[in-house]
Amino acid sequence: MSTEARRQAAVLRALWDQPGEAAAAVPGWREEGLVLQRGLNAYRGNAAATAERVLSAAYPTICALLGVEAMAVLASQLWHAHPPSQGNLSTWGQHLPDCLSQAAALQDWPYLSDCARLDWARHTVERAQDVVFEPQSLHLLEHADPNELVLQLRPGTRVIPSPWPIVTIWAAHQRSTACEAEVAEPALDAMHQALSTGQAETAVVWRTHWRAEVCSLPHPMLTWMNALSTPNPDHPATLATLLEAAPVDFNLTEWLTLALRHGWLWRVRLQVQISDPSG
Amino acid sequence: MAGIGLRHAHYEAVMAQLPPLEFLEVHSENFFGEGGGALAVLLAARQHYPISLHGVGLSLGSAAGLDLHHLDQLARLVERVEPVRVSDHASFARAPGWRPDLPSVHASDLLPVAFTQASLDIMVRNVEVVQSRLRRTILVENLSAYLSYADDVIPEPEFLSALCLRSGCQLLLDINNLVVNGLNQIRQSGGRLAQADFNAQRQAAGQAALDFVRALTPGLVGEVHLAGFSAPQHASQLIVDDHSHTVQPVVWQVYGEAMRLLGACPTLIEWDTQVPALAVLLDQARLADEAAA
Repeated sequence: MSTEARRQAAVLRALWDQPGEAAAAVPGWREEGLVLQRGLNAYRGNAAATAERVLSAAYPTICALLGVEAMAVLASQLWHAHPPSQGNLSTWGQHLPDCLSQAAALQDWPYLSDCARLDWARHTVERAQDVVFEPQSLHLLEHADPNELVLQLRPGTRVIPSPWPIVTIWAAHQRSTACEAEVAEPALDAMHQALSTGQAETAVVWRTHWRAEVCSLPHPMLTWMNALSTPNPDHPATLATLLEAAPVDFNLTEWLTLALRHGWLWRVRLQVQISDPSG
Repeated sequence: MAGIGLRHAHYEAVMAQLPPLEFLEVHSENFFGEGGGALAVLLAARQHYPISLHGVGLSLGSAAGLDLHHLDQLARLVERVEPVRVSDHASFARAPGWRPDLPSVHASDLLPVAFTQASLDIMVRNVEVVQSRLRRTILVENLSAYLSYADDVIPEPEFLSALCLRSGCQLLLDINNLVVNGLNQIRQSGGRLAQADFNAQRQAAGQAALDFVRALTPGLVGEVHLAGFSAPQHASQLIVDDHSHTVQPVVWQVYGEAMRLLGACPTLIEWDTQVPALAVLLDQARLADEAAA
């Protein structure tokens, strides 16, 4: 490793260490003592502000549930435990759901990590590829062999199963802007009732226009939607394969009606078109 | 000649009013997604204004080299937007991590590089890689830096001039950064923050900024940035380049002089924190036009 490479690695390490330990860790600063400390603190302050801003934007429901101060603490913890690896910060923060589920101090709110998964799904789908629904492709369902057919959801569509009423919790906080909760009383009452009765919800997150949409998925459709939302990009399962794996209470017509009403479905394709990039 | 940064708070107002501006600048990394509303707004704005793509994440000074995935994303955005200019900073952010699960860490900040020959060689090489990939020259911006290195041997204007001459890039001259750097140096001279009159400090920092501009090799500046910063609340506070206020009088003063020295340059009003009403930015852009006239 060159001198400059060692220096730069040491600078980053200093910025991620606890205040007070950094000065000795980085050789080569011109500044020393209080002046050095002020400089390091300026960069650490930038990092703390960046982490809080980025995490609050990606996780508005968590921010509304926990408040600004707790979000700042979480952002700092996540920044240190999982530093960014890329210059594109929209990819940073994906570890928050796991951190929430492991945080001992948050065990009284066991639904937080699933709420965070829902927030992250919204965050990512809002940057997913823009596509236009291809209604003419539905004709394939009438004429083609199910062994050859593939159903494609809109890019970025995610399914989040949970033992908690995460869609109701999200709905109760969706008017929040950043961390400022503006919770409507009826929605809050619905959330408390759903939590007290142990209502489980599976969320579907998708995007037909610019904003992510969220709704609750009927349980018999979970396996089906899971498979459709996490396809093998080169060899997605065919309609016939999916139908074989579907539970007995799954009804394709009911699902198709719901998918078309919400706009989950992008298009129907022949598997050969997916295998062939020019298709 | 002046443009403004297109920020989320102003998407609707800018597209509704289409105010007369020379260009709009956006932070490249905010538009790296495959799609989405922000990108749609940018592509719509592209129909009315030249767009300048200003990055904060390339880490041009990184001894560990460039993140080629980041560069690919930037190249894709450049293809989509066909910007009038592409720029980033004379800084580093990316280095190997300190745990096995951290092959690389990105500080998401503009960290100072050493002003050494080795550091210059690294940045020249990285800028050349970027320009080769993008098939165009880029602009590289001087920093506001809160720390420096004991072995800095090349004066910053000389370092940046050499970078431009060797790589073929242009300089994005941030005058506010020069003033912030000067103020912090003056306020910390002697190892403690001086209590002297802040106005006098500003004048001295303005003079230092002007000396910096005069020390640059002529013909290298391709764009100028202007911004405001929060005044320090107490003597022990460093001035942070937070782009949170109107442009300070001393920055306007240096800008006017710099325009006479350098000739007219595309100029950006940057405002990233506590973003005000669009009218405030437009007024700042108008003042920039007047100061450069």
